[in-house]
Amino acid sequence: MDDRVIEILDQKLSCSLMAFQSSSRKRLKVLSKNMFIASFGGSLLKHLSKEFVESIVKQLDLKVKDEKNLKDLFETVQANYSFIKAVEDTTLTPSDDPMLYVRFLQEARGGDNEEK
Amino acid sequence: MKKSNLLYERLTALASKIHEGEVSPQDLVNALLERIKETEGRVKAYVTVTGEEARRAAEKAEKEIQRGQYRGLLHGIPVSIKDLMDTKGVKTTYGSRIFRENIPDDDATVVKKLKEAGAIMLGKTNTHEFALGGITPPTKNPWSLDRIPGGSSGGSAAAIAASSALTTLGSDTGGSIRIPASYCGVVGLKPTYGLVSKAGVFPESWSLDHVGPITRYVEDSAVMLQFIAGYDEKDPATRKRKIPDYVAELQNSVDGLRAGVPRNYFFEHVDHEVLSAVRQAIKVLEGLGMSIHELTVPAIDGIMGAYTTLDFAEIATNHRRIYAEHAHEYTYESKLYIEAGSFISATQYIDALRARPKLTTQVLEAMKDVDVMLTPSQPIVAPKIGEKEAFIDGYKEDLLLSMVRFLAPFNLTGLPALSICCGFNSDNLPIGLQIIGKPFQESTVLRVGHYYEQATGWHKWLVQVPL
Repeated sequence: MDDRVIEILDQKLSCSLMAFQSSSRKRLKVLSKNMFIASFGGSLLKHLSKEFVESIVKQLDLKVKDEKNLKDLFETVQANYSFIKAVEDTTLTPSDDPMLYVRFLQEARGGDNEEK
Repeated sequence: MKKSNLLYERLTALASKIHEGEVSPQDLVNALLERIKETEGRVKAYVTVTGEEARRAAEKAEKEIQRGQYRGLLHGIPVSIKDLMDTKGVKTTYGSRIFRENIPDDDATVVKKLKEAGAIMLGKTNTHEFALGGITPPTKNPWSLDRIPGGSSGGSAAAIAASSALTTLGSDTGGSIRIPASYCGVVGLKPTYGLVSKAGVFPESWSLDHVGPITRYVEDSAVMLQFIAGYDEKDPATRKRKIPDYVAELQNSVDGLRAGVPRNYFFEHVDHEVLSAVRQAIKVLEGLGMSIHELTVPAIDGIMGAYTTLDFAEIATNHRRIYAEHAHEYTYESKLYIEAGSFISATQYIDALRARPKLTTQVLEAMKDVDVMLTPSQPIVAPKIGEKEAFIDGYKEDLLLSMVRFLAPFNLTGLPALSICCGFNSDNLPIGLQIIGKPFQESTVLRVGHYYEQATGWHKWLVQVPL
C-alpha cells in the first residue's frame, strides 16, 4: 500500500472515529461503527486502541474477541458489505413494498390450478 | 440378478420389480447395508445408519405388498435423509455438537410424506454444521478421496456417488443441493420456492431455504419430487396447487424447447475444462432439437447483494438465542457467519426484501423468450480437502464464493434449478451443468435433464467399489 493510500485511509478513519466518538445516541454509534468496520475491514484494527476494540466487542456482544479472530470477522463484514452495497444501487421507490414478494409468489403460482 | 447390481437400478425399475415380487425390500436394504459397510470407512457419508429399523420396515413393506396393499413407486424403497431434517425417534444433529443427543418427537414434513408413500429410512447423511458451509467434513468425495464432496448436503451426494444410497434428500439455501451434486457427479434438484415444505428442517434462512432430492438419475428426482411436493399447513410458503405427474411428463419431447445461455456473469472465471464440457452439453441439447438463444441476466450485483443481506441477517437472527448460550460449541467459521450477520442493519435487510420482487421480475423478463436457462453449476471441479480458495486458470477467489455465485441467484429468485453431470475433466472428476426454469416449471427442467442424460450416458460412469 503506498503512502498516499495510507494517508487517505488515515483521514477517513479519523473522520469515522470522530463521528463515532462524538455521537451520544446509541443507534448512531452502532451505525457508525458498522460502517467503518465495513469500510476498512481487518485493516481497521491496527488503528484502534485496545480499550476501543474492547468497547466494540462489548457493545455488539461479540463472542469472537482476540485480534486475529476480530480481523477475520471484520474482513467477513467488509466482504459482505461489498455485495450489500449493490442493493443500494437497485432503483427503489416508496411504492416498492417489501410485501410485494408475497404477491409475486402468488401470481407465479397462478390461481386456476389449485389442488382440489 | 446380483444384489449389488440393484444399487444402480432406476427407482421406477426397482418399484416394478418390488411390485411384481421379483425383488424384495429386504434384499434392497441388505444390499445397501453391505455397501455402506464397504464404503463408509473412507467416504463417511452417514452420521447415523438405522439398519435394524430399516430391516423391520422392509419386512413390513414386503408383507403389505404381498397382501396387495401396494402404495406406489416408493413403497419398499430405502431413502437416506440429510441430517438437517427431523426424524422421529432417530438422532438428528443438524451437523452440530450442540444437538449431538437430539431426538425429535416428530418427522419433518418431507420425511413424513416419504414414509406415508411406503419409503424406508436407511439413515441420516452428513451435513456441514447447521448447513453453514460447503465442505461437509469429514465426508470425502467418492471420486477422489482427497477431495471434498461439496455441501452442505455433501453426505447425500457422496452416498449416491458411492452407491451407498439409492435416493436421498438435501436442502439448498445458496446451492447446498447443487454444489455437492456437481462435485460428486450426481443429480440435484432445487425446486421452486414454496413447492416443497421445509417444516421440520433446521432453517439457515427462511426466505431462501429449499428442500429437494439428490439422486443418481433425473427420473429418480422426478419420482422423489412427486411425493414430497405440495401444500403443508406447517410451511407458510407452500400453497394448495395441483401437482403435475413429473415422471409421465419426462416423456414429452424437448424438440422445439428454447434454451437461454447467459452472455454475462455465468461463463466468467470458469475453468477451461468445465467451460468446454458445458459448451459441449449445450451443443448436445441443440442436437436434440432445442434452439439456443443468448441472453443477459440483469442486475446480478443487486441479486448477489440482496441474497447476501437476507442470508447473513437471517442466519444471525435464527442462531442468536442458541449462540448466546453455546457459542463455544460452534465451529469458528459458523461463528464468523453469525457475528458478521449481526452487522447488517434493519434498513439494509428491508431494502433487500424490497429489491427481491423487482430483481426476480427482471430475471423473468430476461427469460421471457426461453423455456430454460443453461449455465455451469460450478466454475471448478471438486477442490482438495483443506483448500480455502478456488484457483481458476490463474484467477483466485474465496472457495465458498466460487461455490455459490452461479447458484445463489436462483435461491433469491426462487426459480427451479437442476444440476446434472455433463462430463469429467482430465483427472476423471465430474463437471456439472445447471438447468434453470421458470416458477413451478420443474417438469420442463427435469425433461431437459432427462433427455440430456439419455443422449450422453455420463450417469453410467460409476465410482469403483471397493474404493
